[in-house]
Amino acid sequence: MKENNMQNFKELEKSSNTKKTIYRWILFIVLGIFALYYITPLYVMIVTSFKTMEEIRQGNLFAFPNSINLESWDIAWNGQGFSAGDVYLKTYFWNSVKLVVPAVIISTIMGAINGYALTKWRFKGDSLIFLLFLFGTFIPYQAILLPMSRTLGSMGISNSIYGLILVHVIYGLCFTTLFCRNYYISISDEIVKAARIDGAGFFKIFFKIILPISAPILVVTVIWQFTQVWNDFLFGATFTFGKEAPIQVALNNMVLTSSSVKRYNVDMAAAIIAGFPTLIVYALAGKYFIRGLTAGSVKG
Amino acid sequence: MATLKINKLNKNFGSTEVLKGINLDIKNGDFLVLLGPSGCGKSTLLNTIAGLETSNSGDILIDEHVVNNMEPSDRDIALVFQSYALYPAMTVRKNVTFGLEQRKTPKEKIVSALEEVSNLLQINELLDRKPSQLSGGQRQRVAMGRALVRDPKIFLFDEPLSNLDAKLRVEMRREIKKLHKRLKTTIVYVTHDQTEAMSLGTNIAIMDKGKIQQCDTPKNIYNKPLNKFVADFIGSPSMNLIEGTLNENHFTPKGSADIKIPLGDYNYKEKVTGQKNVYLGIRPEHVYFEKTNSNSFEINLKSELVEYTGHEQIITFNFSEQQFLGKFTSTIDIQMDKDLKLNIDLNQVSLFDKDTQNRI
Repeated sequence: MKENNMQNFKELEKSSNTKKTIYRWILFIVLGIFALYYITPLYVMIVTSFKTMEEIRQGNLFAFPNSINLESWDIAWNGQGFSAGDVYLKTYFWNSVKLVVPAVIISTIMGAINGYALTKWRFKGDSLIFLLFLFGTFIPYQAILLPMSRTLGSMGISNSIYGLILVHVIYGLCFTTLFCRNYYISISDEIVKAARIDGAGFFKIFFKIILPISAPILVVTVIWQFTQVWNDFLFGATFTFGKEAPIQVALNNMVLTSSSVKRYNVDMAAAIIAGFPTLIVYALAGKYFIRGLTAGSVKG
Repeated sequence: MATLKINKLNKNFGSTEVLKGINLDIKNGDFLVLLGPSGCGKSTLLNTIAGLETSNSGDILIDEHVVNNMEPSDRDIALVFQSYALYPAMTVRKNVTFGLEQRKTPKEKIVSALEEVSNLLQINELLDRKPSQLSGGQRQRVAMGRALVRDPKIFLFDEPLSNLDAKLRVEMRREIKKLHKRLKTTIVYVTHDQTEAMSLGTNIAIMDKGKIQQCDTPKNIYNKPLNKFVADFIGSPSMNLIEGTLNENHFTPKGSADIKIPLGDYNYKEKVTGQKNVYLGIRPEHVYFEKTNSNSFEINLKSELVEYTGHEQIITFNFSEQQFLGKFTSTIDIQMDKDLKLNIDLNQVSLFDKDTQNRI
């Protein structure tokens, strides 16, 4: 009887082990298929950007380039040296940098101050104001185009980076406020009370006590805002033209205005250049994001 | 070192009255404990004293100066919070000295004050750590250090021990008591733990529903509760309150007309005439098997339930269909479901009017 039982248990254990292995493999295969699905376009872009037009015309989409050919990258970045009608990314890339850095910093800082004020310095009507911020996140891009261009025009900053910074700060403020408010609500109010008794004021408490423990949420808002502003095409195309345009507009112009032949290699190189900073931000800040999440948690 | 006076303080949150006409007079060096069930307004009162909340009417005076509209930082008080409220991004050293730095205290003075406090609270080894690297007890010490270092006029404590485990709580309680004995600073201390209140306070103010029910020494609170709420709130298990009538200095419990407890020696607050519906309050520890003094009443009660707690046992009796608890040492054997002869010490009883709930 006992012997029999032992035998049974062994068999059960064995079959459950086999099951586990099978499930593992199914999981890996499914994950592998998805990973491949997402990585393939990037692979095609990279190899195409290094090919010459000759190679591209042969039609082997997935084949390696015969040699690493950097000419298309040079053309995408510096242009071909035409005196008129030459579209390239260099100027517009720096336009975007000049736009994205102040827009992200200002909207993040202001969102953090908003969130801090809304949670730690409660005042009459604060929940209504928060509701309006929340409502602001639902406003579609298209709805503010016309009023915004009128506003920018009357302020005299249409077709300038400054105008675009203003648009992105205002539009992003609702999101950054929402993020920060939801983070600060979890921080104990007693910390602020203690600091008030210690003699610190509104901004001193913010910069000395609240901001140093805000890393996790600041990383989130920076990633969000950077992606939004850098990848924005609609605001850029509406409120700027010519030399003031950000990179996404330039990329569009470049791809659509090719004069005679489609230069796929140049297009691919340009697209990679335009997408590169976002990739960098995710790769760098993602690490800090996780680190910040674990380091910032102080509970009583 | 200061006095604290509170005159007719009122506070509303919208339409709910949280504090209703609070009067308090705290002398220099007093240790006042605000005790009450949760939601009674004790923390709000403390926050109002600190200046973190504003009152709707009434005055707060520190050292005879009205401070109603003063900023918390200008009132020269220190508050120790339940969650300790240490600044997470700062080291212990910075946490303790932050308040002094905000006040532009000279460097040398900060250093000497920090040294004194860290010696007193034994936190020297923790000075370079962050709050997240400290245990609960250590955080508690740092929070106290932050309050002590400024040498304020008044210390305010908002349930500072509730986040500690039972053993540590008793230790820290003793340390706070020692600290008060040594520094003799005026303290206002909020708690919902009656043992903490009884053992720490020179005075206890019992609060309920936004009002102070009684403010007196721990002994008087325990032995001469002013009303039924205080009698019921203080003591564990709480006082037996037997419903009945008082007629010509004799108490008769409801439902048994033949029992007459003589209360001629009771210390009446005012003369009682005629018949009155009352509660007779008897603490469970004032019930004995042997007759301990001449002024006691002998009665036969049926034992129904025993609760053994180690150092004592709590017996539930049937007192003419009302529950009656008795507390005895755990070394004696008591039989259940049996009529037992008991002696009630009549020197220790309290009487409360059934309508007004006040002590007679």
